[in-house]
Amino acid sequence: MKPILEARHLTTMLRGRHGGVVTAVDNVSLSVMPGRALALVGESGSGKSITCLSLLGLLPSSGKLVAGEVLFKGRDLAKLPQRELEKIRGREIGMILQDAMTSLNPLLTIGDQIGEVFRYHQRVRDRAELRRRAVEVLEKVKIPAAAERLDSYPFQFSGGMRQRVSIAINVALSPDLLICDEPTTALDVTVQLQILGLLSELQREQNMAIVFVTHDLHLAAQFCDDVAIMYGGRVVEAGPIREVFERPVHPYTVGLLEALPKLETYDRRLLAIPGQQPGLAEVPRGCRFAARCASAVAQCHESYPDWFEWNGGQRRVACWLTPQRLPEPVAEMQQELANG
Amino acid sequence: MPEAVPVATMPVLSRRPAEPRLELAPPKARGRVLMWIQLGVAATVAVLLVAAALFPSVFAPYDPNAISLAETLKAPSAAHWFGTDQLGRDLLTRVIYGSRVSLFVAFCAVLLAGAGGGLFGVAAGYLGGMVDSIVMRLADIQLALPAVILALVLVGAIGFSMFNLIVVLSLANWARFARVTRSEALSLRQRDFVLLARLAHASRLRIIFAHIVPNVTNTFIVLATLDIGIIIILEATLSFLGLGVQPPMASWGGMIADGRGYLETAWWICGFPGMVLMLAVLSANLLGDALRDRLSPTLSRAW
Amino acid sequence: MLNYLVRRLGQSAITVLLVTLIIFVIVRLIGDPTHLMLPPEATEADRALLRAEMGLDKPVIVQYGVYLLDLLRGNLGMSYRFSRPAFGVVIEALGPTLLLTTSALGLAILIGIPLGVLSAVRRDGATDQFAKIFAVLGQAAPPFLFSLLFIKLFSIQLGWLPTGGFGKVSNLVLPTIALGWYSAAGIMRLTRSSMTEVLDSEYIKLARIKGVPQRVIIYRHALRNALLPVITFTSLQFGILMGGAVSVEFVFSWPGVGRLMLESISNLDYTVVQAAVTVGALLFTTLNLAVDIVYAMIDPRIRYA
Repeated sequence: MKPILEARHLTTMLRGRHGGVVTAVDNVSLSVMPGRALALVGESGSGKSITCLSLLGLLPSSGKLVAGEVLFKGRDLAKLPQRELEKIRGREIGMILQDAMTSLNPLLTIGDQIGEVFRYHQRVRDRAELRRRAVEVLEKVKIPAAAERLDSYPFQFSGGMRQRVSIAINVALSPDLLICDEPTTALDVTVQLQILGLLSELQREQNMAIVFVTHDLHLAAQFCDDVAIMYGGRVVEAGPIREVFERPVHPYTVGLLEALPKLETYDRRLLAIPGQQPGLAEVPRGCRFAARCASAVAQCHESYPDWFEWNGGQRRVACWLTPQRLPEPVAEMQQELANG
Repeated sequence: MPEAVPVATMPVLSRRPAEPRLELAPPKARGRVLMWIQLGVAATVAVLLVAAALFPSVFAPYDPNAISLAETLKAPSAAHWFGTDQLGRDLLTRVIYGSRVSLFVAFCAVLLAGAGGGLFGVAAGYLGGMVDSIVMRLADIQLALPAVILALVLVGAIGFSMFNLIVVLSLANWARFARVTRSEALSLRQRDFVLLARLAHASRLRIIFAHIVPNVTNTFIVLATLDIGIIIILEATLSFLGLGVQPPMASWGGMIADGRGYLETAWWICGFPGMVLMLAVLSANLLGDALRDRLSPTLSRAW
Repeated sequence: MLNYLVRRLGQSAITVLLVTLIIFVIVRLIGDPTHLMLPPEATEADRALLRAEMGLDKPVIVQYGVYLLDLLRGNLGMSYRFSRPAFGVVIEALGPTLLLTTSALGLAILIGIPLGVLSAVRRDGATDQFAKIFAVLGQAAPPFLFSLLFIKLFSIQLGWLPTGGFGKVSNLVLPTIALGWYSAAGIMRLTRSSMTEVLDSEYIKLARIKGVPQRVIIYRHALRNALLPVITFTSLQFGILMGGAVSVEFVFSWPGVGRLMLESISNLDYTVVQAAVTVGALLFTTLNLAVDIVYAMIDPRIRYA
C-alpha cells in the first residue's frame, strides 16, 4: 500500500523575538497510510505542531520550511503555489486545531463559517443550499437542533461544541487526510471521549487517514494504529503502535512509558525522566537525548545515531544501542540468521 | 536517501545513516539593523537635547537676550547657524534656552500626570467599587474634552504662570495613565502573589505599593516616554496661541509665534524652532516605541 | 442590547452633567463679570444692583440650578462682545469647524485604514516602509507647525493654494491635511498592529486550513475583527481633532469655534467660552455614544450580553 502522505526530510526554522533562529523541525520524515491513524507523540516543544503546520504550508511569518518534500497524491505540497494549496486544503486535507475556543471567527455565524467550505470548493452560491449542506454536516457531528444553531455565534457554544464545529468544517468534503493537533487537550475528559468517538466513527465512514498529535500515550494507544515519537525536533522511534508501546527500544520511549502511572505500582514514586529537553537553539552534535539518557555511551554524544530498521522498514529506531536493545523476537531472529 | 545497509549481512535488521544535518539559510532577519540605527539616533538626540537644556551656556554661542539691531533677520550662516530674529538675537542660542522651558514643563507635566493618574488608576483597578466608579467618571470627563480646549479654558481661568501651566497640562492628560494602570491593576489583582499577600493579611495600602505598583512600573515608563512627545506638542501649541509661557520666557512655541509674521522673508525664525521641536518629539516617540518593545509589548499601539 | 443602550445613555448623561458642573465652577473662578459689563465709573452700588439682577448674589447652589435650567432651555447667556445670545454665536461658528474636522477625519480614515491594511499584509514591503515614515512624521509635529509649513510651501513659495480664509474648496485643502495628518498616522498604526495581530490568530489559521482564498481571508475574516479597536480609536480622534482645530483655525483664519474661543478668551467674553465648551462636550458625548452603538451592532458578543 502506498502512503497517502509522505513527508521527507522536513526541516523548519523559526525566528524568535530577539533574533535567534531555532530549528524546530529537523529532518523529519513521516508516512501516513490511507485509512490508518498515525500518532505523533512527544513533549511540548518537541516540534509536533510545527511539523503539522509545515505539512500544509501554514507556518507563521516567523517560520520557514527550509527543506524537504511533502508528497500527497503525487504532488509535492511544499513546492505548490498558494492557490493550488488553497484548493487542497479543506477539501483533501483537513486540520483540527488545539484550542477550540479561539479557532472560530467570533464575528461570523456558525452557518457562515461552515458554508464557506462549500462556497469556495464547490462554488455553491445558493443560500438555501448552503444552509442545507451546513445542517447536514452539523448533524454528522451530532450537534443537536442543527438548523437553529446555524445562526448562532461561536461565543454561544461550549468548548466541546466548538471543537465539533471545527471537525464539521474539516470533514464536510470528506477529505482523505485529517490532521488533529491535540484536539482534546483543552477539553474535559468526558467531552474528550465523545470527540474521540466521533473522530473514530468519521474515520471509519470516510476511510480517512489521520495524523493525531498528542502527548497523551493512553489516548494514542486507544485511538491510533501507528506512532512516531518525536524529541527535540526529530523523530526517534516509529512503527505500529502496539509494537512500539509493548516493546519499546529507544530509551526515551522507554522512559515515557515507564513514567506513566500504573495501577499496579500506585504506591511507588512516579518515575520521571531526569533533566529537560534541550532548548532547540543549542543543538548538540550527537543524539539529542544523550544528556538525559541513562544508557548513553561515548558514541551517543559524538555523532547522531543511524536509523535501525526492521519489518521491511516499518519499524525504525534512531539509537546507537539498538542492536543490544532489540525486542526479543527480533533479537532471536537475528541470532538464528547469524547462526545460519 | 542513502541505501540501507544490512547489519553484518543479516536481512532482518538494516541500518542507514540518519538524514544529515543541513546547513541552510535561516529565515531573513527583518529590519533589525534599521531598528538599531533608529534607536541610536533617537537616544543620541535625546541626550543632546537634555544636555543642552541642562547646560545651555556650554552649547550656546551667544546671549539669548542680546539684541543687536545691526544683525536683524540674518539668514543662517557660519556665524549664526540658525540665523537671527527680528531683534538680531541669535536663534540657535534662543532655541537652546527655549528647550529648557519646553523640556522642563513637559517633564514636570508628564511626571505629575503620570504619578497622579497612575495612582488613581491603580487605586481604581485594585480597590474597585466606589473608588473605581468615581475615578472612571472623572477620567471620562477629561477624555470628553480635548486637551487643547481644556487647557485653554483652564489657563484662561487661573492665569498664566509656569506652575499653572504645568498643572493645567497634567489635568488635561492624566486619564490616559489612569486607564492603562487601572487595567493592569485589574489583572494583577487576580494573580497568585497578590492573593497570597491578602491571605497574609497585608493591608490594602501595602499591597498596592509593594506589589501592584512595582509591576505597573514597566508600562508606566513606556507610557510616560510616549507622553513626553504629546505634552511637548501641547505646550508648544498653547505657547504658540499665546496661552503658554509668557514673555520674556520663551519656549519653542512662542518663538514660532513670533516668527509667523516673517514666514515669507525670514522663514528660519519659525523653521528652526519647529525643526528642533519635531526632533525632540520624534526621539521621544522612537524611544517610547523601543521601550515598549522591550518592557511592555502588550501595550496597545494606539497610545 | 437594550440593557447596554440604557446603561450607556445613563453614563453619558452623568458625564455631561459633570462637565457642566466643572465648567460652571471654572467660570466662577474667573471672577466677577460685572467688572467688564459696566463702565469704569460705575459705583459699587451699581455693581451690586447688576449682580442682583444677574442673580449672582444668590447661593452658589441656586446659581448652578438656574444655570442648568437655562441650559435645558437652550439659554447659554449673552455674548457681551456680540450682544447676541452666546448659543447662536457658537452654533454659527460650529458649521465651519465641523466641516474642517469631518474632512480631516475622513481624510485620516481614507488614508490610514488602507495604508494600515496593506502594511500588515505585506510587512516590511515598500508600502510598509512608506507607511512607517508617514506615521512617524505625522506624529512628530503639532498641527500649527504643519499649517505654517504648508502655507510657506504651497501658498507663499508655490502659490498653489490660498493662505487662509473660507468659502471655496481650495480653502479647505491645506487646513484639512494639516489637521488630519496626525490622526491618519494614529489610525494607520493601530490598523496595522490590529491587523497583524488578527492575521496571527487561530481562526485565521482555520480559515486558511479550510482553503478560503487569501483575499477573502483578509477582507471578510481579518478586517472585520481588526477594525473593532479602530472604531473606538476613531471616535477618540474626534476630540483630538477638535483640539487641533483650534490652532489650525487660528493660523488659517478659519471662522470656526476654535478661533471663536481664542478670541473670546482674549476679549474676556466668557459666556461664549462657556457656551462653546458646553456645546462641544455635548457633541462629543453624543458622538461617543453613537460610536459605541455602532460598535455594539457589529460585535455580536456585546449585542447578546
